Amino acid sequence: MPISPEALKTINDEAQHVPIAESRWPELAVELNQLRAAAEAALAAHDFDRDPTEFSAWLRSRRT
Amino acid sequence: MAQQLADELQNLSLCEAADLIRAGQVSAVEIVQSCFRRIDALDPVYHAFVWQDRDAALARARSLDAVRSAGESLAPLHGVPMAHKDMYYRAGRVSAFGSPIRRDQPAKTTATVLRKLDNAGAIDLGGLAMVEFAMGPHGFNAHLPRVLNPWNHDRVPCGSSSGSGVAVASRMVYASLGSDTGGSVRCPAAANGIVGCLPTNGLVSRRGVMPLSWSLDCVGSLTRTVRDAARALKVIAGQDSADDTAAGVPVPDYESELERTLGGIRIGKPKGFFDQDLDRDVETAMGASFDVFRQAGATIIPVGIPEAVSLCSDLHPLVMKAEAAANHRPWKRARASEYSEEVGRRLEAGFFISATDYINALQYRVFALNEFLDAVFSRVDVLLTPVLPIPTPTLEQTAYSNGPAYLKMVVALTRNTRVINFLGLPALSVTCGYTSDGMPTSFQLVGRPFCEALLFQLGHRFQMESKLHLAVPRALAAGSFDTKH
Repeated sequence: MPISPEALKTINDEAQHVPIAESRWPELAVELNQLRAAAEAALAAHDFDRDPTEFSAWLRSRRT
Repeated sequence: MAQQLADELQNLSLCEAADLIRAGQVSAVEIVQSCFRRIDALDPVYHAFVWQDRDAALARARSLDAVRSAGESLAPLHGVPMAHKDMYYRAGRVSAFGSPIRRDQPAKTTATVLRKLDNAGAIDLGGLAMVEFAMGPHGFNAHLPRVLNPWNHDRVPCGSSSGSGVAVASRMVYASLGSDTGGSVRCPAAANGIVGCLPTNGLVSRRGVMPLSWSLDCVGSLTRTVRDAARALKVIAGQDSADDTAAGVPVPDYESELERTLGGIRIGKPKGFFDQDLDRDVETAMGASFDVFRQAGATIIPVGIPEAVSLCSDLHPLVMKAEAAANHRPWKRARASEYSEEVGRRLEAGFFISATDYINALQYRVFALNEFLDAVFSRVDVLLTPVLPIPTPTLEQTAYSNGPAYLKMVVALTRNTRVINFLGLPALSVTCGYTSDGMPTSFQLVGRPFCEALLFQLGHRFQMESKLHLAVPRALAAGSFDTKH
């Protein structure tokens, strides 16, 4: 189910408290749904044991 | 005569200027004063500088000349004037990040990279314009006078290191530090016809540098030659006890490897992602670049780009916005009116990205890196791609709106660069030709982690063969300073 402008507004009212223009909520919902879709697509490669901070060490380990 | 001498000094590369100072053929004071004359002539139109400290620069130049007169050994950048994106801290001085929010807050520490440049003998002339909080690729900052591209005033200078690109291209300074989170060094370098160096993520300390996105930010240089970039990186790279993210890997003498032959080097020609939606002029310039490398002895090999790259492109803004929102939350709550509408809105999505999506995106980086290394660097030594897939856009094309054309343009500008930040790889942007409107266009050489030496070797050879780095924007040629261009 896509994120709705109303849901974002509720999160903001209860947690983030950032001033956001009323006209922005529909645009923000579109952007957030695009970002969410990317995150969902990444789950196909998800590895339970992967520590996100491994990235720097991984770069160094692949130095040739 | 004085104008001719000034032109000669300003057309020197960073390394040439350092070598002349070392040889005693010109003093640091003379070089600094030459830069001041150039800045006086150009910057009232180009607006690359946001502040200058001429007294401090001259005092430092005099002390460096005294060191030379005393016969002491000289550091590699002894007496060479530079200026940097206004986001590098120096204790007691304000770095405003292109924002009114920071105008009254002097830094408490000095950035490690500035200390390293000081120790190498560089002279800091001032702070350069940047996109507000480095959040934007076209170079415009609503809080600052518009920075103009010396190649054509109707084209954007790109950003976010806009002042750095223009100051180096118009020869006001010999080199500049920018920052690159999604292309903010390579894009302005490309738009202004100069060299942009993105080191491997973690090779250069970020201590004392404004954070935008901790996992993606890199300190990079903008220079006129690849040799200059090699010298600058040798100075600023390496371990930093104050920055755990700075990799403790050996830093080679990049300059000593520049002249090696290209025989046996395999250059990848991308099939997929980087060859999509290319402007025809950019495609032609890329084709000619492959020819130059082939004739110089390299082998060109078509290489498929893994699907993961496209997802990297989509996940980059998720990571960047989540991290930027965390940094900006106190100011966005208390001082929202001090953000420009464009940048203020660009930050907003980050406040609603879930922690799980953010962490999964970070986890994906290792998977994507492995996919990319296996698919690309098992077959070739470097990958050659365009920096900007399109000609440098006009001011009008990038004017802020919430319409689809503006959003498409902003996304297109960093399409080919942001994925490299996401993968953490090094890249070197080098001018490779011109689009039919006369604007420079660039390729980026992308390498394995910490393989900057190979990128410099190839980039240097390309400049020696093509001589494109010697081109001067027409408006600035022969001291004419026709800034109405």
